[in-house]
Amino acid sequence: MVGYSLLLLSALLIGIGVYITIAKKNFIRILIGVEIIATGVNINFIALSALKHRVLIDPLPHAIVVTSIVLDGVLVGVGLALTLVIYRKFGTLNVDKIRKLRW
Amino acid sequence: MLPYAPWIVWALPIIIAFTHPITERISHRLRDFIAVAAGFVSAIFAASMIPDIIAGSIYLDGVYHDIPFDWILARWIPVDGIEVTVGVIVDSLSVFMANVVAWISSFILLYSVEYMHGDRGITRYWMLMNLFIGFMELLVLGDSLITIFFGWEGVGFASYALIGYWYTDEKRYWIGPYSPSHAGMKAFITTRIGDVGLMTAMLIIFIYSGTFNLIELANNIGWAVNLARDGLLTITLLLMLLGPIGKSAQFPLHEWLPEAMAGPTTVSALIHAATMVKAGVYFLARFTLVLYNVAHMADGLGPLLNSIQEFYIAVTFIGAFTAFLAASQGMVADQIKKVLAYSTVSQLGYMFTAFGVTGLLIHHQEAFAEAYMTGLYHLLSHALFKALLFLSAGAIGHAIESYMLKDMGGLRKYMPKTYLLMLIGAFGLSGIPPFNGFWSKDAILHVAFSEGYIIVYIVLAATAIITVFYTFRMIGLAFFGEESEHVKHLIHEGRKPHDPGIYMLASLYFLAGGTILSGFLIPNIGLFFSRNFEYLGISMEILSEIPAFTTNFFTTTLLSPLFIVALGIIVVGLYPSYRIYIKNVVSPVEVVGEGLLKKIWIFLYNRWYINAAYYKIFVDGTQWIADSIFSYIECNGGGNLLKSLYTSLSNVVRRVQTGYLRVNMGYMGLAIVFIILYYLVMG
Amino acid sequence: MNGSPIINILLIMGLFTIATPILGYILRRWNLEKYLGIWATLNFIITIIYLLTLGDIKQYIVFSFQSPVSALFRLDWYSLFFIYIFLIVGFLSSIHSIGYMSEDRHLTGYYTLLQTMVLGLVGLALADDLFTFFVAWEIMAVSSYVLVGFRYHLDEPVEAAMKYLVMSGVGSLLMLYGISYVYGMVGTLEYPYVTLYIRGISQHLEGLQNILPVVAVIASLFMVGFGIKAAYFPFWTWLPDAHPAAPSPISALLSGIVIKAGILGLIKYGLPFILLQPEIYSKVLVAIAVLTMTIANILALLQPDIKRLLAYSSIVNIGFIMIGVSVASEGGVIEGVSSALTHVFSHALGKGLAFLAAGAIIYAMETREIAKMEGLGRVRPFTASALMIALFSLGGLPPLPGFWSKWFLIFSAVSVGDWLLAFTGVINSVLAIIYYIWLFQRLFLSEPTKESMEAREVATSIKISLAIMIILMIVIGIYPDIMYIPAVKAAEALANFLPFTP
Repeated sequence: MVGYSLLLLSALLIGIGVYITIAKKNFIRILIGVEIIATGVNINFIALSALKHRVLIDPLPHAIVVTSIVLDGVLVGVGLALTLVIYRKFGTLNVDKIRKLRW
Repeated sequence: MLPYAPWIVWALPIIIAFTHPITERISHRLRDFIAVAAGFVSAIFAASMIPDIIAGSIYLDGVYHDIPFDWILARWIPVDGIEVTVGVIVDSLSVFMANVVAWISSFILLYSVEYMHGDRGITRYWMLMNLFIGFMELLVLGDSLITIFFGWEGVGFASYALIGYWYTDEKRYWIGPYSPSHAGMKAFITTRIGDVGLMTAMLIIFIYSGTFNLIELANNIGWAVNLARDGLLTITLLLMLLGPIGKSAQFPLHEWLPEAMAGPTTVSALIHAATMVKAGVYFLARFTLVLYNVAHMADGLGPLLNSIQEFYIAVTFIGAFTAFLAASQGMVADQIKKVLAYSTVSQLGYMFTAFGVTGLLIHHQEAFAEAYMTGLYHLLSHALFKALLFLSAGAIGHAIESYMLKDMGGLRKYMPKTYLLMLIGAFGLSGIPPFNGFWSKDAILHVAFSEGYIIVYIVLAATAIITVFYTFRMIGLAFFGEESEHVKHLIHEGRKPHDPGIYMLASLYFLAGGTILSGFLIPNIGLFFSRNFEYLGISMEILSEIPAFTTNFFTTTLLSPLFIVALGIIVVGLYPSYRIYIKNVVSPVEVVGEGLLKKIWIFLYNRWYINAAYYKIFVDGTQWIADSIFSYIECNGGGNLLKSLYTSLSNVVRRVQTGYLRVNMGYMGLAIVFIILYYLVMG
Repeated sequence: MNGSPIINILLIMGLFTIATPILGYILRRWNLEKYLGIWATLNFIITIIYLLTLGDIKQYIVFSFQSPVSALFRLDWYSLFFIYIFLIVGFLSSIHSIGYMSEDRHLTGYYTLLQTMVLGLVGLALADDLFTFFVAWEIMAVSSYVLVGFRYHLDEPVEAAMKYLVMSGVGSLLMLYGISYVYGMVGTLEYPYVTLYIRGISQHLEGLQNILPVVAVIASLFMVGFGIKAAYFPFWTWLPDAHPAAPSPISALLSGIVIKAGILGLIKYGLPFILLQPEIYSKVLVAIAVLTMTIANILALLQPDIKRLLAYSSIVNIGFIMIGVSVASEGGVIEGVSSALTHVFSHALGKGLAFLAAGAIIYAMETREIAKMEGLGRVRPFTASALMIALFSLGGLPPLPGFWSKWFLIFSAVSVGDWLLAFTGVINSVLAIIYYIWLFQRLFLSEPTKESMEAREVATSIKISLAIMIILMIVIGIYPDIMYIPAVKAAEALANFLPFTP
């Protein structure tokens, strides 16, 4: 039962994350939204591992989750570096104001 | 056979063509040398195939292959169930034609070294010439309709570029009222009309047969049977005929050839003697072999045979009519190259007639073989003497810097060698024994007469009279009589007309030798073709009874009553031109006078008004449609229909690309929701 | 089986890539950093030569790496086909970069990232389990984010990188979410076992009914996740921003091969799941193909910026590739996949050349506006002709690869009887020709503008890269078997793993 509720939790987290990326204007918040999605996905792995084997003995999801966390760290690193540049160039982090590229 | 000979023959000139821009940087002489050497090496490879044909089999990779040998090197268009291959065919016809093309064009290349010396765009010239020859060889050696078509289009492109070679359109290069680039375009468009027909026919045949390969088309005749059953065979064959008609400048697509003189004379020689116009005749010869097989394997299928007969009746009449039409125009042409151009159209008409008669005789093995060969004999003769005539005319043009007959006159004194060489060519063209034109032309007339096509015979004989007349008119106007103002002016300036140099003369001597001798090779050529006929089921026993395949050919020709007629033709044609143009007893203006002859003269000079009608209908008509579309539908012309359509459409739709990151993410979210909903509804 | 070729490929590319920063550090002292491009070129050319020495791969080569969890690699025709494409475009882009990037800063980082990106692509082509695939995918993706924003002193790359990072990052995560369900369903991520499981379950009606909801989730998530990378409808919105913003050689890489990674993933990992319920997903795929082509074509019609025009044309071509994928989902697996792969190849070459040539024009004129390039064909014929050859190939004119691949695509659509797809394919070819021909008219037939009269000669390395690409295009155009037969082999290699194979 814990497994299924974890599945629901992760789906919820992903939904929240996607909602944040759609609804929020601040770039840092959007990055946080991306991170929430990542967390949701990671939890999903663990939940499915628990559902599959009853106990957490399979090393595969753990390896994936660890790797995924590292890769998310890289993503956020690039994103935050980008935040600095954006602020320097545009003087704002409001993504609605950054739309020179269209059509 | 030298290794890979049939491939190298066509591939070498094409590859070499693309090296000229590189070798040009090194040295101009190297570039010229390589260009000419490519021609001769290719010719040697072509010649190396002759012994194999005579021996009757081709030795390759330890296996003896029968003739015709279809050498397939690669699979090409990869579509399931359809095999389009890249291959060459080695048989008597292709090897014969490959040699004619390769050798004559090699000497034309040698001639151009001197003729084109000092021209500005000469790298382009060499590139296009080598491409021209290479594509013609591809056309000749190709084993399938599609390979032939590639060569066909390549030849068309190269001829377009070479006719319009002097694209700056300086006035001195104009032929008639048209500039060189206009002439090139005209040649390209006119032949393209024929190509569309050919391509349509190819595709219809492909739909019915599933193959382009000529050998397979000849052996599996289901396509022809089915086409005949659906009543499409005649129309398909006639569409196919449009291609050769356009390429070989037959009525009604003959109008491009007189203007095709606008390029350098060597190009004209190449177009008329070896490549381009011979492509159509070659294709007809090649496809006649296929149709022979079809007709014989489908014995007893009435509609099929009727269709084939109808097709060949069309060929015969087109050929005979064109022969007469063009010859009549040749009588009044005012430029030496134009006279020769009309004569080419006329002589091609002879070849078409020969193949038309061949096709009509498809059921009589003996007569078929004889008639088939006459067309090819004439092809060879014509290639030799026409190249000779054109190159001699080029020598005149080189010397006096004009091709107008009125700018010549009395050149015999200044250019004695050219005069003699051109005279040999003229003897060949007008069919005076024992030069090659006599034997081959007489053979065509002989077949037409003895097989009972009297109308054809009469038309061709009348054409022969005209041919003699205009040939000697040309010789008379150029070499006899008073020097014209232009020549006097040149002499006054110290630029006396003189015979050409060693490169040009060497080529001329070779071609003159060919013109004198090739007539005597006719029985040998006949035997050379016995391989193809044996493949068609016409055995050596049957062939050995035909005069054209034995040394009896000469005696039978000379002893036949038609020989008297032939002599009569020469006398009737020669006498007036001798009196008017060579001895200048009567002035041509007096002969024409003001009456009916003047009207005929104007009619002929305006090319039967066919050209004018074409311009009126097709050029102006197309122009009119284009203008209407431009002004009412297209952008910029005022109508702006399409432009406003595109613009408004694009302006509306482009709003989806908002540039808002959140909207982009929103699309994604919507897509996910949509997929889930869709799954819930459908699943 | 002996896995040494895979180790060798990864070793060659990995060592070259790792050595790049060290070499760059040394070269910087003498101001020779720009010649790092030669190093990158060497990397790719040596790998290509190594692959050529392998010859025809009869079966497949597996290499498994047993550490805490196993990483599985497989070299068969499917991966080989993509690796060749990746390496060829990477090779030419790095030659092009020597001249194009010579005035930029941070070149060590640039070349390191370039090689890392191609290494990631090669890795994800070789990967045979979804875990390895995901790692390689992220390596490729992160380097591409940085490369898009490489010229961060300008406005455009920064904005483009931001949008690209968010969308692509979310896409990768959604893909990982899908992978997690694959794990939940099968218990392992190794591709052979996953497909074995699917094939096994597809024989049992009852078992199939039970897993169908999970399959639906996986298929949908893969379609979204890979779709964001491949940039089809409605996920393309990042592409017209990101591809033009990158330096031109990188645009060539992004448009030529990086978006193809999405196609690779969709065909290899998405198709087994899609084929479990083809009647549902084929309609979605057809809709995607049709809408992608049509909308992107209309968007491109009036585009004044040359690189943006090319970017839209990339989306159009992704739509064409989706024709092949839809055909595969409608039953013609071999036909569909092989024609899609053929178009992947021809588009990689064509769009690679187009972006490289556009880069050459930008290098020569320092502008991206088409209006200012009018008449350039008369001043700099080689550069302009290179662009036009690429565009004619993309538009599908006969003696070029684009013609053949479009022909195969439409032919495959007809072979499964989907006339709608075939028809829209033809219509969109015509629509695309409109703006290519318009570009031709402006480049070659108009009077030269002041800017184009002053266009400078391009660097030698740019010329070399264009010349090699043109030769490749013409050779393949004349003899399409070079790309078609490997594509068929790749499709056959893949078909072994798909359910319901004929």
